[in-house]
Amino acid sequence: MTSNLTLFAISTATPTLGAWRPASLTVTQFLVMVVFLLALRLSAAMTEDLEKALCEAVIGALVRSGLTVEQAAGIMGWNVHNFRHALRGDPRHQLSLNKLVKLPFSFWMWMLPDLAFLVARQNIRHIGEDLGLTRSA
Amino acid sequence: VWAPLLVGLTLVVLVYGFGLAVVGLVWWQQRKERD
Repeated sequence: MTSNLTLFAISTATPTLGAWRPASLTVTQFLVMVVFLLALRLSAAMTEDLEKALCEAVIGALVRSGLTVEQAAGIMGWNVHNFRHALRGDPRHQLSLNKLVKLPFSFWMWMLPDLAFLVARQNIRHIGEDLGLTRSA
Repeated sequence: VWAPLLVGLTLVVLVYGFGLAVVGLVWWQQRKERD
């Protein structure tokens, strides 16, 4: 049973083009493990923390994609004043993802890795504590 | 030749996939709050 599972894991991890080198497989496995741990941690994450990270990521992505707050608000059909409040993390003006979807591809190209990095940074210390690598305060 | 490319590609897929997962989680939470 175990050997079948191992064979299945190896066969799915082996690419169709060229052969894996042990080092590349180790790196891939390590990355998959890190993302898996982050996903586990995220399942217990607080909404406020995620939305704070979202605000930061949106501001960063707007700057990098060369969009001004006014332009972005115009594309989304949202009041500039409300959008500014939402970016500051005002709970009365929630940053709606249904509106953010209307922003161009260049915005999302910067936003997704930025968001992934911010959330990972927020949670990496907790993961260390969970694994017993660092002590909690 | 393929190994660094595949590692790079895996990294990009993981980062963007993770970002998408976070966006999906926030969207789901916002929808739940609205309902």
